[in-house]
Amino acid sequence: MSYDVDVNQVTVKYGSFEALKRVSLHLESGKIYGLIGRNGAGKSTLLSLLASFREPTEGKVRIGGREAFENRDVMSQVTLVYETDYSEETEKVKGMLEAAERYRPHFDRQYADELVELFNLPLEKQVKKLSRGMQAALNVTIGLANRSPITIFDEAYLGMDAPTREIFYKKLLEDHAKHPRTIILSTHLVSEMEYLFEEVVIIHKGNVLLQEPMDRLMERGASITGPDQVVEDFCSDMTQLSTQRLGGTKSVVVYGELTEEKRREASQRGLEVGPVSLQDLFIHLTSGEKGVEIDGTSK
Amino acid sequence: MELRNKIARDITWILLSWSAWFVPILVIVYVAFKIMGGEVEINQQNIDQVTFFTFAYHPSKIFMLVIGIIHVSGFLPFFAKQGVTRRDYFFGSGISSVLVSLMLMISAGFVTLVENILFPVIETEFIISAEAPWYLTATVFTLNLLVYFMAGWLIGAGFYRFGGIGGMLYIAIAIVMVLFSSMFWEGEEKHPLNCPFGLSNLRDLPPSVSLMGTFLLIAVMLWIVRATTRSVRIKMK
Repeated sequence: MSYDVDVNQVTVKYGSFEALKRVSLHLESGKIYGLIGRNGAGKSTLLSLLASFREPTEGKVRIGGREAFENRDVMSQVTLVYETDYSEETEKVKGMLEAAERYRPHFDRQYADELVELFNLPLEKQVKKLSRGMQAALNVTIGLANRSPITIFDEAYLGMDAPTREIFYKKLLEDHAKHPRTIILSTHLVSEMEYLFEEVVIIHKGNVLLQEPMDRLMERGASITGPDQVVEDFCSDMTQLSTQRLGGTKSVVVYGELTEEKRREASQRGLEVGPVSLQDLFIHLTSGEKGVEIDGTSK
Repeated sequence: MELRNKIARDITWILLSWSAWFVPILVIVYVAFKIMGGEVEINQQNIDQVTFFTFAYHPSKIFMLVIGIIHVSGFLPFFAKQGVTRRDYFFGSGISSVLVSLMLMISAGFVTLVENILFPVIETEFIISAEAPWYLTATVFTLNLLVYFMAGWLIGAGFYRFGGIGGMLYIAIAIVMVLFSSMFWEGEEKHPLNCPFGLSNLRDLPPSVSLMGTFLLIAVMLWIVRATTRSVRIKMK
């Protein structure tokens, strides 16, 4: 059965505040999506809709063609991992894993044990006594071992140190290759996680600004590196996102697709053309009040 | 159905593990009071003249009330995280509340049985009356625990969904429900309440009508809890 996600004209209001404004989105099942947006952009609201944690004020959320909200067959197949307040959770790590095993149809106990070992999780310790990073590792362990057809990590890495995050990313990619499923990663750590994404959704002030495959998105900009003055001349009529100087060398990140002609010219002038980082694009696209207009692809 | 039974089993197990602390503590307090003797009066009842069953009745109601109050915020987000719907949580919890009420009644009954063998009590205070058959007393005990659980559940649901001010309204509803229930079973009160709404004639109702009335109260509270939690937003905390 397919687990394509269809969000159709969805609005979510908190009182008079519109957290999502007539958002439409189609997520084909089986891919790893990066959901990025600034604080308060509406990321968590969107994700909580997919997990049936809340109902849309208007519009429809369908998963596998069926209405998601309060649908047992859908809810049991969606896992939402988020930073949970465990300050009063007296259950032990072991008990939390057992609970997931009891309720999650695809839970893999052996894989969970493997992750527990990898993250050094103490099975007999109460969850409230774990450090924040350990609690995050527990959440991620359950999230991965659930093997839900739709698995959402909403800034699930918060509190984890860099090496632990690396383990998480590595395991996520490995397990996704073995057991393809839709994984949605909502994050602020764009530069650190961009290599994980197959497709990117940028959300800004309650609107979906763009949804594109990662490689296509990378063509929306470029970094131009070379001698200071040459780079300046070359980029003078382009939208510049950021500039770095080192001695007489300058590197400028530009926004906008580079035509073949431009690329040839760069090469003739001895300039190096490199890829743009998602981080730079993200900062640029979400900098204004309404975000940057995306030609033709704006949703 | 299978899923709801599983939910009911899991919640019941947790609540019984709490009861496993509650009942022994109650026994210890009861024994201590018995040792102190006639000086101790509880609900205007002389401790020398009540059995454990009668003694346990009021504290057990409060225990169920507290469980009810923390039920929604404690269990609903947990189950939602496991991919369980609000509807399945509701039915699972409903089944579990009946089981826990029954188990508490049976535990109190068992302790009383042992007590009667070891130190027989000449009772003058009863939950209903001296003439009431044991099964009616047991039913009333269980049903009133359920009423208190439902009242707590109602309050917890109201606060979870609406926060402070809305929650207050749910407290008011719960108080009215509990008042009605105590009017149905006035025999339990040494000094009857001054019944609100001029309904003092409810005191003399036959047990069958009181039972029906209590069932109705439970049904109304269940309906309000379901309506309140039907599409409640699960807080991501």
